[in-house]
Amino acid sequence: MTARSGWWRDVKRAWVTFVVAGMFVVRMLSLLLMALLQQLVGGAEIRPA
Amino acid sequence: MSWPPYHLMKRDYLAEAKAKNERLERLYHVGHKQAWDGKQVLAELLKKHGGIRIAPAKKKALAEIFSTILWGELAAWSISADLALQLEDTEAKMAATSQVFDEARHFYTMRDYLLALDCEVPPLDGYTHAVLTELLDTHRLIDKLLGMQLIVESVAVTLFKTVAQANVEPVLSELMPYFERDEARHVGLGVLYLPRLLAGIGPLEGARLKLLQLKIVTLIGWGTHLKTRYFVELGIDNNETFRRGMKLNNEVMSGMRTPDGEEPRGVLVGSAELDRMNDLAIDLFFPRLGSSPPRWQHRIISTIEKLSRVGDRALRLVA
Repeated sequence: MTARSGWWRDVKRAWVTFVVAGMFVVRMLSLLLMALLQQLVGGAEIRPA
Repeated sequence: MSWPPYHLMKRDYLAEAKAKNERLERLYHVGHKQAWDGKQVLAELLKKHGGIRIAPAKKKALAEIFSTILWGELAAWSISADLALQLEDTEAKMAATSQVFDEARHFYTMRDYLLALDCEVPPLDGYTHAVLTELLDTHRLIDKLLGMQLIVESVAVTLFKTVAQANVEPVLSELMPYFERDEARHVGLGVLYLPRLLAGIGPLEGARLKLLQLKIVTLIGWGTHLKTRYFVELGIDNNETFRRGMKLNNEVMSGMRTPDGEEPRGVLVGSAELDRMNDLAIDLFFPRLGSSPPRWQHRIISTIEKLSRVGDRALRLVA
């Protein structure tokens, strides 16, 4: 395996980690927003645990 | 870790280890006994139901969802072969070897089904690609066991059960229980073997493993959003599927607790608070099929589905 392919693999991994981290943050923020809206406006069907 | 490992002389530890090894070995023998011929089973089902007869829109939806399954089975085949090589305990090696045969059978059977479906199979989505290549590329045995055996296989078991019950297409509905039964044994390998690997890890490694799990479940969640319209087309309720998946996950994690009730290190086990948050997330992100969500919920979910396509394209840049 060449050094270049090793470097490219690291770049790909870093990109994937960056995208996933971003998607995690977006998900958490959306969850927060929806939970807030459910408290304020209501209407969503929330089943008991 | 303290030395010497005094627990190796404790009778109850030895009894537990012996019982687990026997159960691991049993996975191999049960797998051998329950082995089925994929070509024969599929041919019989196609003959019984007169082929695959389904509306074009549903055909496309099936192809979209099962392309994920197809390539997942191929990845599981390679990963279980890695496990069979790397695991040192004979009984665990036997269980992993049995899984290699199962996954090979799943791959060729699913391939043959999709060919019989006669619909273009789309390329793998970015989320699934990221999960599978992460687990294929890692050299760490513990990552493969945790990622594939515990998380991905549990998702597969849940999906197979859901698809069978949804009665989407009769050949597939009768094929799914064969897959489901095998996958349940594969989860068993993770449940039985992982605790001994996790017992020796330190806090940094524990944190790394938890991040890995978080990465995988984030990818699975967004991947589900990407495919929501296909699930809806097939009448599959993601709310129900996720709840079922959570229940299975809790059972799996309970199976990994020590006899003293201690939770395994490095595993994202659900506390009561985390379970409540997950329940809320399921109901907010995946409202029950047939329900009428309020406009604010509908808009946010639509936005999330659009964002899932952005994420898919971003991940495919490096696929």
